[in-house]
Amino acid sequence: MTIASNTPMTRKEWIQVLARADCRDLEAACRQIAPLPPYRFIRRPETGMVMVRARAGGVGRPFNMGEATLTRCSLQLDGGPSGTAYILGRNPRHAELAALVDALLQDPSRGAELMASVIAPLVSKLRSQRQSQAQKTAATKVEFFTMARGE
Amino acid sequence: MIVTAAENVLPGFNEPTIDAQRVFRSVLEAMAHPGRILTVPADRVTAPAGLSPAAAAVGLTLLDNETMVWTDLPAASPALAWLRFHCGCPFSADPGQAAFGLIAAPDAGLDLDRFFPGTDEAPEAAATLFVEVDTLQAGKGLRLSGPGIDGLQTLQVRGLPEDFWPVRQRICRSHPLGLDILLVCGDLLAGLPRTTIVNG
Repeated sequence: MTIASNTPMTRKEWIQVLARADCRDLEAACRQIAPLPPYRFIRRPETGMVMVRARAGGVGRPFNMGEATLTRCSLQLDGGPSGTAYILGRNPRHAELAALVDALLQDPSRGAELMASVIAPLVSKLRSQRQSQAQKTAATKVEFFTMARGE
Repeated sequence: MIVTAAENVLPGFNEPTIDAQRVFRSVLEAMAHPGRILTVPADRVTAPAGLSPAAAAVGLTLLDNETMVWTDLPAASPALAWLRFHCGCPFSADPGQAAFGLIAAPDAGLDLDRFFPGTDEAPEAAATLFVEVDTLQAGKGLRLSGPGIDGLQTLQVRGLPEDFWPVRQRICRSHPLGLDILLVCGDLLAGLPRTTIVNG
């Protein structure tokens, strides 16, 4: 995940952040912005499977890598924008909160404030998680080299 | 899963599993008793403009990403976006490719011959049509007979083009090939399987 820090975040980027964030962090963030505005479901959280496709080396022919469990949700704020979430796994509450925050972020009157109070902490947490994972991985790296080639 | 934008789409069923099962049950009833008028539990669905509650409920129940649909709904209609969002069904411009036909405004342009009547090896592959009509009530009008009807069933239907019944009868004469039809009006539903003989 690459998120440019200077330009304002696009909807695609914040949807990505909300989907990857820990549900508990999202829950805590939503408690801060309480009371939550009323909303109705367009599609209640539901779990299904998606086929994940990939390309060998990122450039080869696409192939089906495997199926992943996914939960999706769409909702609409009363008289306002609608939000959608697709998250990996089977946590309906996560999908609901992610869709709700997605809808709230599209509301011009509170988008900027939420961006600072909800999204920014999630981004920095995801960054530090990624960094510590990269460090742990780097520590186990093994360098292979050849002393002499038997020719 | 097909990803479709949720902007301005109305909700589907309140309880997708239970509501779909209840509607499916009424579709079974309708097909088992041709011409009997049933009330679809359509209060559980918010039908978009252009679709009756019965058509919306039956659509949510029977259509999914594996059923090709042909419809006369305009391409930009909210009803089409709604079906695409909730059912994820693909639409075909060719009625002959469609497993289901959704006919929201049956008029003289409706050509039943273009729908697929199945083959002798696979008569079950024939198209099923949902047809919106202006009125649907019991009483003098059409006289129906055939499997599922004890003697005679009468049905009053308004809002179909003149050649609808003769063309249907001709298509359904090549049994086991034919078209299965569900007539919908408001929250009412009547089944018309290919085996039913209709006399005006």
